[in-house]
Amino acid sequence: MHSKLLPSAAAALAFMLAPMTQASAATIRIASQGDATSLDPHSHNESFTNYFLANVYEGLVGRDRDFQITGQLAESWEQVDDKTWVFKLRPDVTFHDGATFNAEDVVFSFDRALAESSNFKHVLASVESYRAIDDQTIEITTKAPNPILLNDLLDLMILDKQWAEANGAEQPINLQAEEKSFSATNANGTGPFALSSRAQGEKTELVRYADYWNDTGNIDKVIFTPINNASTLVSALLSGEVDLVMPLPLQDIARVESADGIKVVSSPEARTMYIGMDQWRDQIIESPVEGNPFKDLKVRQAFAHAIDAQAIIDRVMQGQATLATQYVMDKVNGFNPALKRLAYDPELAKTLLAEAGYQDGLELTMDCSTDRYVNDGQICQAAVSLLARVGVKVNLVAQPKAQFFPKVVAPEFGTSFFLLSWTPSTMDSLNVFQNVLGSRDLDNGRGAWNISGCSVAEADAIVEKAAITMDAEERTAMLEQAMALMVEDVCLIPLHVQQLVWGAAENIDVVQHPTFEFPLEYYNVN
Amino acid sequence: MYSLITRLVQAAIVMLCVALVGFLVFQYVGDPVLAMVGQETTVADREALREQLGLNDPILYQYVRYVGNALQGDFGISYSFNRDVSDMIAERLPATVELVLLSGVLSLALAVPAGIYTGIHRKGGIAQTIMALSVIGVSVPSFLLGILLILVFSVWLPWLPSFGRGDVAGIAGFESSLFTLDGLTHALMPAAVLCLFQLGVILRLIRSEMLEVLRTDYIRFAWARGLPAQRIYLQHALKNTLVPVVTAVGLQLSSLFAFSIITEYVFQWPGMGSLLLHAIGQSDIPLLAAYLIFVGFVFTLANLVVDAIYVLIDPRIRHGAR
Repeated sequence: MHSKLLPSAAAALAFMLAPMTQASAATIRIASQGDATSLDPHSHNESFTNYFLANVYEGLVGRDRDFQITGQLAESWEQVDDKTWVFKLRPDVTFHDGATFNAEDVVFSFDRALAESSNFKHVLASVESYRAIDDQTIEITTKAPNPILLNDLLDLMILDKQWAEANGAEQPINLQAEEKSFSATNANGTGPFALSSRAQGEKTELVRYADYWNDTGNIDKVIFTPINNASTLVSALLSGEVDLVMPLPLQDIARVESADGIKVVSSPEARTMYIGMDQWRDQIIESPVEGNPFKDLKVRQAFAHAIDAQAIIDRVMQGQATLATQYVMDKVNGFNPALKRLAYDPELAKTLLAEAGYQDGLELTMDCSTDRYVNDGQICQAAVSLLARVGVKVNLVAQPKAQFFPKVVAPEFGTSFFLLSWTPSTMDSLNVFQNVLGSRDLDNGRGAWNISGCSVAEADAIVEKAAITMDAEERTAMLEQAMALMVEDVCLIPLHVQQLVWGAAENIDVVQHPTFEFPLEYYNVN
Repeated sequence: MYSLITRLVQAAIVMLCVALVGFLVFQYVGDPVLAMVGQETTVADREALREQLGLNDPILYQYVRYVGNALQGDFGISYSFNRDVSDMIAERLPATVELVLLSGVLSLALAVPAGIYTGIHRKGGIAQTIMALSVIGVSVPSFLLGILLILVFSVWLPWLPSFGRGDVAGIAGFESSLFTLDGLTHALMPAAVLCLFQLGVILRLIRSEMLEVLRTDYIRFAWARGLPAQRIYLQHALKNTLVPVVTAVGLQLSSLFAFSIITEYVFQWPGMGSLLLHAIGQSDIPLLAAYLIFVGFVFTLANLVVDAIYVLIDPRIRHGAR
């Protein structure tokens, strides 16, 4: 029974010994629709789990309050040449159990992230080798010049080598292994908060780490509870049982705004929604149409003109989204401010379809998830009725994500018309070109999510060059140019950038990052 | 003794069948590998993981392998939590058991007296009201009722907590939230919602059985003998209604486990039901299989207990068996 609560003795001790700098201990009670699935920072690459753990573990670099990349466990770094980086580690950093942090822990954590059972191998995909020069210095050599190595390293958390070895956690949990999965239920990082108790699916408590190397806000204790049911989540906020809920269902915004003592906090999320069209099959699937109409640019343009994305934002998204002009949002490096959307114009859409030889209309099947993105099922329904106005009959297959994703992902790509979205975890559009927009080349890890199968050779070439261009300005210009080419080709139909919508008690200062991070060290309770 | 062994064998067969049906259905719950990996994981790595987990093997082979391991007490490691499934079930079971017990006790404590009362005073105003309310109990979906209760008792009147399980205390080696005041306030609404359906069913059953029995000749003779009303109702009538009632209660109590899924979801009760919902969402096959086997076990166990109780309350069965 005692396995329910796993008090990290050191953390509890640290909390008790912490000098009471504030007048009263500030506690924040957070509820979210999901729980962190595992506490192992190299095991599950799932955004909520990653960002929850980012309060406990740290990487060499992280994001500051204003979302700029800043040194965390690395105090400074320099590029010796195009391929070699030297990181000076922060001295006097300790893990929550009191152990000292040094270069050995970095090398160990890199090794661990590359282990067979790790889900974070991709963050070191560009790295040729790494080594500790001395106790406080790490050298990383990349295979080719990698201008965004820092972005890649954001997600790579550092563990204590001795702690992991003492507890049989040298590797991320291997599901076939017999040994106990210690690191799934225990944590020992260098971050601003230490784990004090954990009951999965029930309650997780964090306490401020007194010996944290940096300043933090005034929060001393975090009580985190998952609440799966949306109406219970909102009720808990309304009744004052929790201080912060994420996400807040769109239909409850008005209710929270009109209530006393609580507020709605929202900001654009790095997720861009789009509709994809099969451009690689010679015969589209699940449709009576002969051949593949989407190979014709005019048809793709017609579809883009037919879908009134603003109406979808107003009606389906209740205004909580902004129009997308391209396949990344404005905070992502490589966003091209000059690009415009194809305007909503059903007449033009009909003309274009007629020019392409489809004056009598088209019939297609659309695949859509219903539980993955905000109101995804309704977005598809709206798109279906908008397309009906220009003579395109769409049979909507709305399905749970458990059915949707296995159908549409690589290597089968089993759909010819679909709704999907992407968040570039590095906040650099190279990630989008690598995964979604680049021509498919699965053996070299490109285009695994290019379900549309679109391919613009000129853009591919520019991106390949940009990937190894160290000059930041030059590189950004290249990415912008490549984005323009993809948009011109109507590879996808961009819809909107959804908002992060949270509900919070009036007295809480919330910092939202477009990647869904919630860095609690910047939060304050007034 | 002989019948006990047959019963246990039957129970084992039931559990094997439940697991088999489970494995046949698992093919359609989605792809566990996709639920486990991140968006950047390569196709090759996904395939390697699938192979490593044995998901490429024929489904019957997967089933046999699972049963083989389960017989040795190894229920596998949850895909989505990376932890021993048996640990997770052991962790969640007490929460569900206490919820089921509390609502079982609540429903019996209310249904038996109310059933007797409405059986005796068929036309009375109170009896009519009870009957009308019991219709609500059986017909209103429990998630709706749960949300309604939260709105009234947590949001409008801030009396009761809207979610979660309260403080836990141990008495005589058992740890339960029912031993603390905080725990009881947390458990009250979910238990009330969970018990309402059973309450309606049991109440109506007792009432109709009472009506039936009260019409029989031996009750008329009892009245003619001038026995006190209390004795006629409670000793002569009620006892003879019990056989079908015990059957129903036994089945209803085990179905409380199933019903608790929705109640646990609405109130974020950290029991097995919310674990099951998570497992379905993540296509977590080891967790799903273990849950199904466990529920099969509970149902067979409940039937076993009901059979034992028959022998205690019905002399005809007792003497016939001799």
